[in-house]
Amino acid sequence: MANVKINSLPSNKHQVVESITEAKQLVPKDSGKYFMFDQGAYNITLPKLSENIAGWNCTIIKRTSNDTGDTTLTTYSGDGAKTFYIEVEGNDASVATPVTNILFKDTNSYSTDPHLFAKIWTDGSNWYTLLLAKSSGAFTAS
Amino acid sequence: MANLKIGSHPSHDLEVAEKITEAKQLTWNDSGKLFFVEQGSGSYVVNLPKLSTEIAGWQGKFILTKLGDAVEINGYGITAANTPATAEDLEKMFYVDFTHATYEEDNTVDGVSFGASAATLGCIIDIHTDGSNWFVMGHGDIANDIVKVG
Repeated sequence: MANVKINSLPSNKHQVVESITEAKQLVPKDSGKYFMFDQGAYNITLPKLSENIAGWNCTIIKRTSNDTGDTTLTTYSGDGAKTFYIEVEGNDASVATPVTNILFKDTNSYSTDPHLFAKIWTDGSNWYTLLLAKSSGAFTAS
Repeated sequence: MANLKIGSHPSHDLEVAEKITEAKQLTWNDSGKLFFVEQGSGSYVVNLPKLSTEIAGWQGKFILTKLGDAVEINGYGITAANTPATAEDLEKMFYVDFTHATYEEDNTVDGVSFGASAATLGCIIDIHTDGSNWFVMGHGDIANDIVKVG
């Protein structure tokens, strides 16, 4: 197969920052945004996968930490386990198989790290996520 | 020497996604693209643009999406480590690679690769230049995911 352009998707070019404090469905026009979220037991849902959103990307940062429950980054309903992830924080988690959910752990079950970073990209078929934290266990996946 | 602007290079700002499945020569107008790289049966080389002050600010992001044989991302004209020995952009890459347990660095390499024994889809390589050298940061899960060239 030859090298090919997959898509050209408008981006906010990391010039827009938004706050998340409750459940949120991300959409194609959110590409290139920074999202700062406050810990809580709710979902942040990625857009539906399709070739039309190849190149979609964002950065998600946990700005407050508490024990009110894990915040879950999840794939769109019906997309299933499509997220590959790499953790840089000493956790020897397997990444060979894609997952549906990535959990930012709350302080009750583990993480006292005040700030966690997730960078996310897609080729339209899968999500590729880089997770950055200080300590092992800040994230789990399912 | 005073602080100074060294370049102003147009960029796609990650608004363009491309798939790489075979050898490719990148050019100045590829800056800011998001490249999804597929390894296949047989290794191949992706060459970076020729270094010059005119491309200061050039950047690219590469994400591994299919496992197979090695894919090298080398300086201009370099087909394999130190080959040919006359290539002008030999040993022009500063390289840092992080995994969950290790890190590696080297400041005189010819390129960087998604290794032949890579096992982790989603490995990431970010590349920037000041026009004189390439500055590379890799994120993988195991040491074999991302490997220096030369």
